[in-house]
Amino acid sequence: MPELLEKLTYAVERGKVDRASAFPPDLAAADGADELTRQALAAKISANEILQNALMPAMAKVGDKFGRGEAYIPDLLIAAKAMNAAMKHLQPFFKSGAAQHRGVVVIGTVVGDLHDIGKNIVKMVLKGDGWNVVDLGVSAGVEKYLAAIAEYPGCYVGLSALLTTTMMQMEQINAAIKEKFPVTKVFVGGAPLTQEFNDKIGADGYFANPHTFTQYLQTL
Amino acid sequence: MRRMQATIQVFSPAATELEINRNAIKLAMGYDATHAPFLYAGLVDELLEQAQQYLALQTGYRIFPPGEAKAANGRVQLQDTILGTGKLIAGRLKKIAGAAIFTATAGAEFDAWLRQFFAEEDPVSGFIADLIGSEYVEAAADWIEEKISGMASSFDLGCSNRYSPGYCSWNVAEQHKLFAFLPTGFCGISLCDSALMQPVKSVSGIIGIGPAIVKKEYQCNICNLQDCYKRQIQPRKSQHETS
Ligand code: B12
Repeated sequence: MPELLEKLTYAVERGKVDRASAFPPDLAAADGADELTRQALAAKISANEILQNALMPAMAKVGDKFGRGEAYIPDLLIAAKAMNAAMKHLQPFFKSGAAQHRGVVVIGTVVGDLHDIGKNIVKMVLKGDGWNVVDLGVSAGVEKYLAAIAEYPGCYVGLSALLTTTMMQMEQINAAIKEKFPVTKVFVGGAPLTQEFNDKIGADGYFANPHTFTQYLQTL
Repeated sequence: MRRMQATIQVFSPAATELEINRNAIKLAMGYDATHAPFLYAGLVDELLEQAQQYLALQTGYRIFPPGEAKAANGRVQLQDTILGTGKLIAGRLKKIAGAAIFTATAGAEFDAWLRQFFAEEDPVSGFIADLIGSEYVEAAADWIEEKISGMASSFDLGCSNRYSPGYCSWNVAEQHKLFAFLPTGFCGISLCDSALMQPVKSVSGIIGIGPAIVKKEYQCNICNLQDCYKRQIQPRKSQHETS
């Protein structure tokens, strides 16, 4: 039933969460990601097909618009929210193995820093893009990262900081991760970060926004 | 002749006393006049209204009267404390005789309000509420700056723009030196070892005072942050040289 999936793609792309949500104004009375996903499952479309053929293409479309400067962070976020509304219905299939996440990303704001708006945005966009995101919260120290990596083998790690003082913690956290888990990739982001700093501390990449980050992760 | 006195004061301006720039919020969300359609105006208004009940703005200053401050060679001296502000800020403050250090905050409840949006997976509202908080803190800093200029001018003294640690090559860790001059818990703000202020929606900084100081119109080109979104915003006044 491709028409239903097309509708679902459009709902997620436009950030229409459910019928009750007033956003976007031009789709006020329409079904949203929530209802359309339920309808798709009721029509016996598989969870994987919904994910691969409707939800992921929707996020890719918003991401492309973002890349072209035709959409901004709120558009990524509202689409991610609609995506999450759809994903709730797919959860049982993830648990049974009938549908799969792209992988696991462990993310946190480093020790000494409480700024989490940037980290939370990255988390929402990654989740919306089909990643399983483990959020270590704010002021997360080395031990928390090491424990999470041990629990989720093969995960990627994202470190966030907003001040130059707290950014310095990344060097130690990255070194400790690399020592214990040499193959784990560690990525950095946040207002004062640069690719130069990333290279200096030997991390695996700096990304200025969640879109370029998830795009890159998909190539690994 | 009346002389300016060393004073410490804290104020709690009502949110309605502050001027909020809605366009700044829209621009900070990424939207300019020409690109993507802006569909969030209603949500911005709704959140601005809700924010009123969570804002507990506090802002205050400590005045160092003429004779207690000077600036040269990339440094500013307040009493016996040397601030390594860097050449840019020290240059702007070279004619100071006194100074004011200030802080402003939106309060702890506001931080908690913000967080709850992310816990409820409503990131768009969280993002907008975050920008509203930043806008109010900036407006509170504008407000205290006016207050300080008004007071200085009553003593025939001029004031500089405001400058913050963490900007224009002034290391953010130097906030410890500023806070050492303030009573513990000033304006309800505490400073962590990492130089992070709590509540998160807080700012700190310095304003130069002196008979020969004339406030310069704000110029973005003194700062080296090329991609700062504030470059696109109509200057509210002295913003940009501080957070
Ligand atoms: C708005 C703002 C504020 C606001 C509040 C900020 C907040 N988030 O709560 C206010 C006005 C309160 C403020 C205060 C201060 N600020 Co300020 N602020 C900014 C500003 C203009 C935008 C920050 C922001 O919120 N952006 C929006 C969010 C969503 O972006 P973000 O956190 O960067 O996250 C995005 C990306 O970085 C990325 N990302 C984030 N994490 C991660 C992680 C990974 C793995 C990846 C891949 C990507 C990624 O994705 C996110 C979404 O796109 C920046 C300058 C700038 N243009 O960035 C300065 C800036 C962060 N501030 C700065 C400073 C210095 C301060 C103050 C110390 C100034 C002072 N002395 O008062 C205080 C500190 C406050 C405190 N509590 O201690 C400096 C920090 C650098 C430094 N020198 O340490 C900056 C960089 C400005 C500068 N000088 O260059 N600030």
